[in-house]
Amino acid sequence: MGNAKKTKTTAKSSPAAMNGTSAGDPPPAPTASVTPSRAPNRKSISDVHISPDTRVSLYSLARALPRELRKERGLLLLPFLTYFQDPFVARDLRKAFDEVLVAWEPGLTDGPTSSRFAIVDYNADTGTLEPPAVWDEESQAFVGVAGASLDASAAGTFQFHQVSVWALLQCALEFFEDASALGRTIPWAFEGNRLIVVPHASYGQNAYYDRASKSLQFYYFGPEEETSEPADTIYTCLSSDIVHHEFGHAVLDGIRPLFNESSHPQTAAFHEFMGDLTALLLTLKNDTLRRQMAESSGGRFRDATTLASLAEQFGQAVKGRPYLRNALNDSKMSDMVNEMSPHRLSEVLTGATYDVLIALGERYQERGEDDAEEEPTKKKTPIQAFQFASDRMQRTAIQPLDLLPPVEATFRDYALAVCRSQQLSDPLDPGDYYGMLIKVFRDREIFSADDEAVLREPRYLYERLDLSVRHSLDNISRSRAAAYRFLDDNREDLLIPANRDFFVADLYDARKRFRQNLPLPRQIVLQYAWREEVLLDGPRFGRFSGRITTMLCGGTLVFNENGNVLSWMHKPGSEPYGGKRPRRGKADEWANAVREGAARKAALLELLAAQIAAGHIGTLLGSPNGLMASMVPPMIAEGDGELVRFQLSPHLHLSSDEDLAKAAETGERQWEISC
Amino acid sequence: MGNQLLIRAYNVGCGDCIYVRIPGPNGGFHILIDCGKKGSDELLEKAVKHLEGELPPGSAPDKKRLDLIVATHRHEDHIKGFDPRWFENIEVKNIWLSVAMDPKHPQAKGVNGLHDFAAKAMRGLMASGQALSPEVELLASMYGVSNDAADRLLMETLPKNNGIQPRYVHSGMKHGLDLPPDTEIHILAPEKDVDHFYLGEELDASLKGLQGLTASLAPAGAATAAAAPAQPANISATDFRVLQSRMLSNGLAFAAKESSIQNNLSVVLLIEWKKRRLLFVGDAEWEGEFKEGKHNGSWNVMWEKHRTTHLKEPVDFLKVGHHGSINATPPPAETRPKTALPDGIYAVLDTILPVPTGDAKPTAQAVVSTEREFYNPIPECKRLVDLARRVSNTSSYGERLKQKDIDPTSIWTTTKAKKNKFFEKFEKDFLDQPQPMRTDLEFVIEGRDFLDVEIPPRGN
Repeated sequence: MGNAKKTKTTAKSSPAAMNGTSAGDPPPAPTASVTPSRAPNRKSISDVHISPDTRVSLYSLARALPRELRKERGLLLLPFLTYFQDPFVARDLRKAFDEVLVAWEPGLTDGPTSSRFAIVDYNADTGTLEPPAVWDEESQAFVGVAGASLDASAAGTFQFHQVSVWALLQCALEFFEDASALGRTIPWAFEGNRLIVVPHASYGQNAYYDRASKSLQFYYFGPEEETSEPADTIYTCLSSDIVHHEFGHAVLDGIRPLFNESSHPQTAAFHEFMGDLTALLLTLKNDTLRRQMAESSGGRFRDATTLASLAEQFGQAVKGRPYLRNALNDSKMSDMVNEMSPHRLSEVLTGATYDVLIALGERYQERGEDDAEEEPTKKKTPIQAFQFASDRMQRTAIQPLDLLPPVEATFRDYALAVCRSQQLSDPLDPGDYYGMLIKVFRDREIFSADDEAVLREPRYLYERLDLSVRHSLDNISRSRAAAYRFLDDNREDLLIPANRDFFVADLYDARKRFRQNLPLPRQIVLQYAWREEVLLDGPRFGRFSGRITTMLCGGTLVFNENGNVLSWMHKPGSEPYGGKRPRRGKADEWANAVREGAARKAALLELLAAQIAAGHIGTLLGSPNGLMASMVPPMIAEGDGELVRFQLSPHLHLSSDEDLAKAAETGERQWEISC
Repeated sequence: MGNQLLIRAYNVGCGDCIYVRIPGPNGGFHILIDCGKKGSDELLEKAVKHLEGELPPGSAPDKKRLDLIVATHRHEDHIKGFDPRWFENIEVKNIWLSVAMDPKHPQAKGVNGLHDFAAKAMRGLMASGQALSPEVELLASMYGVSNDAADRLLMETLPKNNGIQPRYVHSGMKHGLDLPPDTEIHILAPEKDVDHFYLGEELDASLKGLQGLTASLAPAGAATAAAAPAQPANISATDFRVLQSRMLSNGLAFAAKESSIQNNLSVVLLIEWKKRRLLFVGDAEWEGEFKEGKHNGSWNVMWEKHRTTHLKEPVDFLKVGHHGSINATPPPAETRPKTALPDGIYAVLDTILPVPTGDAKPTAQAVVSTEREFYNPIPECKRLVDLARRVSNTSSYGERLKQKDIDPTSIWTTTKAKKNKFFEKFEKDFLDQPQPMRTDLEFVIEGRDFLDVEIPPRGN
């Protein structure tokens, strides 16, 4: 490859070189007549050349290297300029640049294209492909057409947009894979590993994640005000909120693909919550935006005397942004009876999450925290508390996702997972975060009084799961087939019917960290599922009457490296055990499971009938040249014969809820063409 | 002729061909409202030939006189039959077209622009040669070149052959016709400001924005939509094809919207004769409630404009809209959601076709010109059964089919009908309930090529 590339010099040297000492070293003892000895000469790091092969070797160790080292001279972390053109924020805040650091990969190439993302700048209106940003090995940067630099002056070019959206997504993925979050490489829900990103898909107020095409698609639309400049086209790919929200759908679909098939409105709402949570957490993490909010509000954030008022002001500042609007609300579950709109329903959970954020910050203000604190006893300002809480939310809100059942998630499931995750990461919990979380979810009525009573009962951290046939963890985690044998041997104990075939939905090993970046015990996560047939019998199922659908059942078992069960969340079916093996005193458990499964089944039928009556189920109308946007119903029925499956449709956004209201009037006709 | 007004709905499958004969001097006044159908032309030619035999003599020898042709809107199931060859023995005195069809109408620029855009996109799709789903093919077929030809026949050839100019009509216009005594014709729709009422600012801005940005973004000399774009280097050809098929198509979206808007540009006539009120609604639709400045259904606009005048009282006859589609007849009041206005669209049907109270029987009449052939849910039998409570000329078709020994499962037997279970899903549960007279089932049972509704003068 020729001479190794010279690394860039940086302006500053290390503190040790500047001051002669580093923080922990004792000063050298002076002697009476000899000047203090100096640190021995060594080669300046600016003279060190790194060959491409050496760089690849370092890359293979990247996760073990400190961030500052990875950042050093763009060795393994490269700076990219991103541009926020947020249509939902006040004009003065709408446009901002931000520099983000993205991990270098050996295979970075034109697009941009990296291991997990491929930017394809295709426009469906013009039928043309925009030239891609080109990876320039020499400058270690993407360049535009004819090698043009993609600095701030190029912000109006599509190549800049391509790099901007790619860099945002790379950072967002890293946020989820970080040990403070899920602590593992996360998959996508489709066959393949590269999420296609279309930054300028065509004209429209839309953005969505689509599993079928393995893509995130971002549309653009004209100026929304008559007085706007013609150049004020709004590109959704430049809105961090929109990009992060849609990415949240892709992440959740990747880690829980079977959620897509749930007709439970809370599962669709959970998807919306995930999108909003992603937008919220990544916004809170962004220094530039945080600083801008504080400055533009006339220092109200700095002057806020309480965290609550700070949080409220932040909430007000983002209120115009639909993906963050849900954060500031008082909605409870009782406000949402018979609510079928996933957006509205998700408000309860997003609001609860914001409550958690504020409560975390308040605890930090009151007690301090020893998360790498230099002066733990000094009174914390609201802004410091807010920032701490924002960072803490990464593990409080994201780590529990791994505990969720593989099929259908309710808000209560998530709340239980959050509480359990808190227990696992902080068993002694001197700050009573566990109690705080229970209270937040209780106040929102996500937990009932009974739930609260059970959760507050003293219990051991680990309870032995009563299993008939023990398998070593090493065996279980070896492969899905091996994990299946473990599950099959223990059907009765795990409440899986004897005569029902089931599959291992996922099996993986996560290395998470918690406070002070301390490692948590490994989590080996095993998800399994099966389908129970459900007949749609009766006129309330409309055109689906007489057909058969399935209710997904299953569970998620989480082990630590010693084979202790850290968590078991499951969704039972309505069928009894049915096996011939002698029962092992599980009659009560099975009775409860069957009762719960029957209730799930009845609820499924009620919900489906309601969806059908409301005209929310249709088929996608499309062509080789694309889908009809106005004809994308909230749920899609698939399958021509006797069997039918209902899936959540691509999450189209930015359009109004008028279509849903219309559907209620004209039923399924809403999704048919009027000729 | 007698002293009764005749309304004759020819059986033309899924289409309209409605003849109205108003008694009066000089052989009366003869109107043809629409002449079209989807699919083959045979039934249309047959209908026109039959009609010719019913008309009074014209001024020239061997010619017959037709006083007025009304083409409610430009869809082929309403205009395909206006073939000048079939009308060569008929002297047409007046031709009325929707004002939206006037290419020069300044207040229809948006709608016409939308039509042109949709036509271009759909023709590109058809020309691409790719396989299309039946629904998309049906939509695309509405923008075929043959539709332009049908437009021209109606707007140019037929008028020219008759030495007249077409008249582009709108609500509130004076008809200027020489009508028989005690006869009046009110044009209730479309409104003259077509873009304002039926397109709306949002859709208009959306289309303008789309066209403007597309023009600025398409490189000079770029490939047309029909040609295949270059293949991206970083994804496979298969992935790219799937991606293209899963992106949002503005062409399809606007074509679907345009198709609905065209229905809402239908000429709606209220004919008053001897104190009888007869409503012909073309394919007018309703959509939620009226919204100022936004895209509206025609029924919503008519209710907004005429509820205290022409629509404040019941009618004696309704030509059921859009072949019995669910959204072409205003919804019954009992289906009103709690959030809907009590005096909005849910009040229309009870006003114009009230359900009689007590032991009274309905006196109004209706006819449905339809065939379940192209669209699964058209006609919407639930809607027809509700209409049957409000009109007198109804029939329980299940019973009549039994009397004639006709197995109802033998009626809908095309591949599409079997696949989509036309009988089981859309007809079976309603055959034994009264429905207004339907051209399709009257043809099957009695072999009727047309349905007649006779309206006596009020007071008889």
